[in-house]
Amino acid sequence: MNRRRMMAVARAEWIHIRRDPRSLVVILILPVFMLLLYGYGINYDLDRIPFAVWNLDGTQVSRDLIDEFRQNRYFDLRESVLEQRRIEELLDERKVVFVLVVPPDLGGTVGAGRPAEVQFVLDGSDTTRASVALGYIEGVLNDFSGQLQAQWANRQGTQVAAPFTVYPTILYNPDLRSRPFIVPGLIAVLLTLLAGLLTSTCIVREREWGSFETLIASPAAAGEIVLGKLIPYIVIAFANVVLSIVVGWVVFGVVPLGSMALLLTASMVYMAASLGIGLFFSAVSRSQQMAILFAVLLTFLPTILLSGFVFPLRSMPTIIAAIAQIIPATHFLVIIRSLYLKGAGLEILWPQLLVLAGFAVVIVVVAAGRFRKRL
Amino acid sequence: MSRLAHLIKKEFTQVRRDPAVLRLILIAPIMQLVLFGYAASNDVRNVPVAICDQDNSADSRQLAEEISQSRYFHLTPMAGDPRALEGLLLRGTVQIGLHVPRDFHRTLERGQTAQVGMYVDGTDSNNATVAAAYLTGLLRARGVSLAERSARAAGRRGVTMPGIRSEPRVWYNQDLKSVNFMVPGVFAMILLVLTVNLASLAIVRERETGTLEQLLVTPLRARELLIGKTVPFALMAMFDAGIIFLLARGWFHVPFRGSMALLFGMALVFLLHSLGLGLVISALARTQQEAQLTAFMVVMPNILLSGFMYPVENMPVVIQYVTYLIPLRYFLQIVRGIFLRGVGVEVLWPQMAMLVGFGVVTFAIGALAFRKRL
Amino acid sequence: MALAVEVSNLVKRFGDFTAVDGISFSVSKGEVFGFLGPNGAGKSTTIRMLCGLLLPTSGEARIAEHDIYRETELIRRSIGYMPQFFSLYPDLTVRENIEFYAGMYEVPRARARERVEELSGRLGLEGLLDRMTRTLSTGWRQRAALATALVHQPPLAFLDEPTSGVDPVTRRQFWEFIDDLAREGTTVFVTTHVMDEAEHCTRLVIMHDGAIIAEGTPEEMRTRYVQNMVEVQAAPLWEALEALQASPLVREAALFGDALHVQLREEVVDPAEAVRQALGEAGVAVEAAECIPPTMEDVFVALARGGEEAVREASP
Repeated sequence: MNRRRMMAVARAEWIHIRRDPRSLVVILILPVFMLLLYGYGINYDLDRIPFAVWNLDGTQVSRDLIDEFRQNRYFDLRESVLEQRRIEELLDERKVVFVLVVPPDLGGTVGAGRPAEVQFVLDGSDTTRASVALGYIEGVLNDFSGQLQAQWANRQGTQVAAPFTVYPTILYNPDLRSRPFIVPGLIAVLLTLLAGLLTSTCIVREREWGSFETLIASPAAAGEIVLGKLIPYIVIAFANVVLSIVVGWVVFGVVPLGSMALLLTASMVYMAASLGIGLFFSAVSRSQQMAILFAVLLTFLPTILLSGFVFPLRSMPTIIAAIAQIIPATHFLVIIRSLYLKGAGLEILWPQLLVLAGFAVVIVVVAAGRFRKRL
Repeated sequence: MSRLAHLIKKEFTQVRRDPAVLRLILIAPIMQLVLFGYAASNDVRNVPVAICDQDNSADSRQLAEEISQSRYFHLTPMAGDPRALEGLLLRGTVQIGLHVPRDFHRTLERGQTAQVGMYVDGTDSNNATVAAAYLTGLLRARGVSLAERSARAAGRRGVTMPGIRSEPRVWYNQDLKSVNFMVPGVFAMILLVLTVNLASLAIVRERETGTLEQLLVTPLRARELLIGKTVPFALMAMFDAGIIFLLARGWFHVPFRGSMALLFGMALVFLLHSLGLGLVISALARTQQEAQLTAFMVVMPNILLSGFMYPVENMPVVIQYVTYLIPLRYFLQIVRGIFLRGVGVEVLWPQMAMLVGFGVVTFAIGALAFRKRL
Repeated sequence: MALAVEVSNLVKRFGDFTAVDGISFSVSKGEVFGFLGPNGAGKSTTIRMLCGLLLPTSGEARIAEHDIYRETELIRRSIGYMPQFFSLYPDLTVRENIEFYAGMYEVPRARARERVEELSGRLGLEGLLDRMTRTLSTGWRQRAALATALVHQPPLAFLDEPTSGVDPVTRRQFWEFIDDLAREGTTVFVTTHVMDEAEHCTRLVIMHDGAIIAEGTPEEMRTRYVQNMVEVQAAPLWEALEALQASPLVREAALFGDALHVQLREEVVDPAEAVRQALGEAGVAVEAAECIPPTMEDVFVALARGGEEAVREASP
C-alpha cells in the first residue's frame, strides 16, 4: 500500500466534492434538518390518552376509580357514555382509545371484600397505542387496588394489608420519555442514510464519466483506490457526527452520559463500515440508479426496521432477530444508546465495537476485491 | 392500435427488460411484507427479567416460578449478588431486575410488609412502561394470594381481598397483534413507494436517453403521453396491492371487515396523488439520480410522519398540523378503517374527501409540470 | 413552387445569450437544404424551433404552410425529425423502435411492417432488426434513427447532423440515401458541421454565431465568396507558411494536408505567380503552385473570418 497514491485518490475525490458545493451543503444540512424534523416529530410518549366512561354503578367506589383515571396525566376523559351504542360510535370514529365500563355491582363487590372486574373496551387497531394504554391502565388499577386493600384491612382490623410492596425504580431514563431513546437512534439511522448516499454513487459516477478506466489503468492498487475514496467521506461524516451530537444537545437536551471520545470513535468505526457497504454496492452496480436502489432496499429499510431502532429485537421471530445481527446498525445502536442513556464504558461495549471494526475491515477488503475485477 | 395503446405497450416492454424495475415491483412488496409483517412488532413479550433471590425460601422461589410462567417475561438466571443486577441492566442483558431481600420470608412470617426491589431499564420508554406495569400487577396479585393464605392460616375462613382487575375487551384486533396493524399499512405504503419511484423517472429517463425529443415531435398529444406514462405504473401498483391483499388475508390472516370495492376504489384515488407527486419530481429533476433521491426524500416523511409507524396523536401539535398535508395519513386511516373496523363511507367520509381533494390537486399539478415543451 | 419552410426574422434568446439572431430563409419543396455551421452556431436551436420543440422569442416561421406558434400539431404530422443525439430506446429492438414510432404517427400496422422491411432494406439494417438498440455501434444506431424518423413517409424531414460520428463509407451511403429521398419528393432539411458534405445539397445556408452569413448553391458559394485560391507545395513547408502569412498580398494561408491553401487578395491578377514570387523573395523552394477551386471548407474559413472582421470593424 502506497500512502502517496492513496492520498492522491483522496485529494481527487475531495476536489469532486468541493466543486459541487450544492451537494456538499445538502450533505451537511440534510441530516441536521432530518434530525430536527424527526426528532421533534417522532414521539411515542402517550399522554392524554382519550377515553370515555360508561358508569353503571354510581357508588363512591366507582367515582373514586374514575377520578383516579381523570387525575392521571396519561389519561383524558372525553365523555360519559349513557348507552352502549355510543361506545361503538366513539371507537369507530376514533374519538377515544378505550371506554371504561364499570359494572353495576362494583361498589357492592368491593365493599364485601371480594375482587371485582371492570371492563375496558379498547381499540386494538393501533397495537402500540393499545398495549401502552393497557400498561398504564394496569398501573392505575394496581395502585387503586392497593388503596382499596389498605382501607379494607383497616376496617377489618388487620395490621398488614399487603405482605410485600413493589415500587419500580426506573433507571437510565427515569421520566420514561421517548425522546432520549429516539434521538440517539435517529442519529445512528441518519448517519447510515448519509453513508449510503455518499458512497453508493461515487464509484458508479466515475464509471459513468469514463474516468474509471484511467483510474484502473493507473498503478494505484484497488485497496489504495477504495481507501482513498473513503477518506474524504469519513471526514465529511465526522463533521456530520459532531453536528448531530450538537443538535441533539442544544435542541433536544439529549447529552451522552458516557465518554465523548468513545462516542466519536465508535461513530467513526461505524461510518467506516457503512461507507464501506455503500462502496461495495457502488463497485458491484452497473448504474447509479441501481446503486441507489441497492442502498435503499438493502441497507436503509433494514436499518430502520431490523436494527432495533423502532422495534425491539426480542419481539422479532428468532430468524429475523438473527438476520438483524448482520446489520452493523444493530450493534451501533446498542453502543450509542448505552453511551447516551446508561453512560456505559468500553469495558461493557467492547464486544459491539469489535464487531463493528470487523465489519469495517471485511467490507473494505471485499469492496477492494470486487473493484479490481470489473471495468 | 391507437397511439396511446402503442405507448402503453412500449412502457411494459421496457419494464419487462429492466431487471431493476422488475425487482422493485416484485421484491419490494414481498420484502416490505416480511419486514413489517414479522419484524415490526412492538408486542411486549419475552421481556428478560433477572431475580436476585437472597432469601431463597419457598415463597421467593414461588415468586420466580410465577414470573417464568408468564408469557410476557423470560427469566434469566443469575447469581445471588444484588450488585450483579446493575451490570446486567447496564449491558442490556435484562430489562428488569428484581431483588428479593434476605429477610423476605421471615418478614412475611412476622406479618410485616417486606420490600421487593424492582429496577427497570427505562431506555425504551414505552416497552419499559408496559413491562413494569405488567410485572407490578403480577406481583401484587401474588401479594394478595399470600395475604389470603396468611389470613386462612390465622384461622379465618372465606377471607378474600378486594381489588379491581381489568378485563380488557379489545376490539378490531383481539390479540393486539402488530401484524394486523402493519400489513394494511404496507398495502398503502407500497402504492406510494412504487408509483412515486417509477413515475419520478417517467420524463427524466426519456430526457436522459434523448428519446423525449424524438417523442415530442410526433403528433402524440400531451394528455396521451401523460396517460401512457401513468397508466402502466398505476396497473403495476394495483397488481402489487392485490398481492399484498391476498397475502394479508391468506398468509397473515389479517381480518378484513369492510368493503373491497371501497378499498380498491380509494386506492385508485390515492394513486392520483402519488402519480402526480412522481410526475412533479420527474419534471423538476435534471437526472434520473436526482429524481430517485428526491423520491426517496419524499417517501421518508411519509413513512415516519403519516402514522404508518408512529401514532400521529403522539406527535407535537405543530407536527400534527404538518401531517394534515400528508395524504398518506388519510389513506392509512381509510385502509385500516376498512380492514380492521369494517367502517365505510358513513364514518370515513372526511378522510375520503381530503384524499379526493389531494388526489385531484396533486395530479393536476403533476399534469401541468408535464408540459409538452422541452 | 410551394415553400416547405419559410422563416423570417426568427430570434431565440436564452437569458442574455442570443442563440439565434434574426434569421430568414426559405426552402422549396423537393430540395436538399443544407444548414451548415460550426458547433454552437445555433443550428440545432433553429431546428428545434421549426419542429415545435422550442418556442421562438420572436419572428415568424411556417412549416409546410403551417404556423409554428399556432399549428404545432399539424406541423408534427407532416415532418420527420432525427435529433442530433441518439434518441432511440436502448432497451427496445430496432424493429420495436421503428414500429413504436409508426404507432405514434398512426401508420396502420400492415403498412408499418412494410415500411420496416423497405427502410431496413434500403439502409442495410435487415440483419439487425431484432437486436437491442443499445448493442449497436454508432453507425448502425444512426441508420436505425433515420429509419425511425422516416417511417411515416413525411413530406419534410429534419435531419440534425445525421452523419456525426459515422465512418466515411457509411457517410457516403447516407448521402446517397438522402439524394434518393429528395428524388422521391421528400424535402430534406439537413444540418452538418462537416463542410464538404454540403456538396450534396441543392442549396445551403451557413450559420455563424446565430446569424446566417451566406446563402446559395454550393457552386455559387465557392465562386461568390472565395477567389484566388492557390495550392502550394514547398519545402520547408513551415517557412513557406510564415512567409505567405507575412505577405501583404495574402488574405489567408493555412495548412491543408501536406500542402498550403493560400487565398490571395481580390486585386491580385495572377495568384499562382504572386505566390511563387513571394516565396522566392523569402528564399523558400517552391515545388508547385497552382490555382484550384476552393472546397467548402475554404469557403467556410473565409466566411467565418470575414464575419469576425466585420464585427471588429463595426465596433469602435
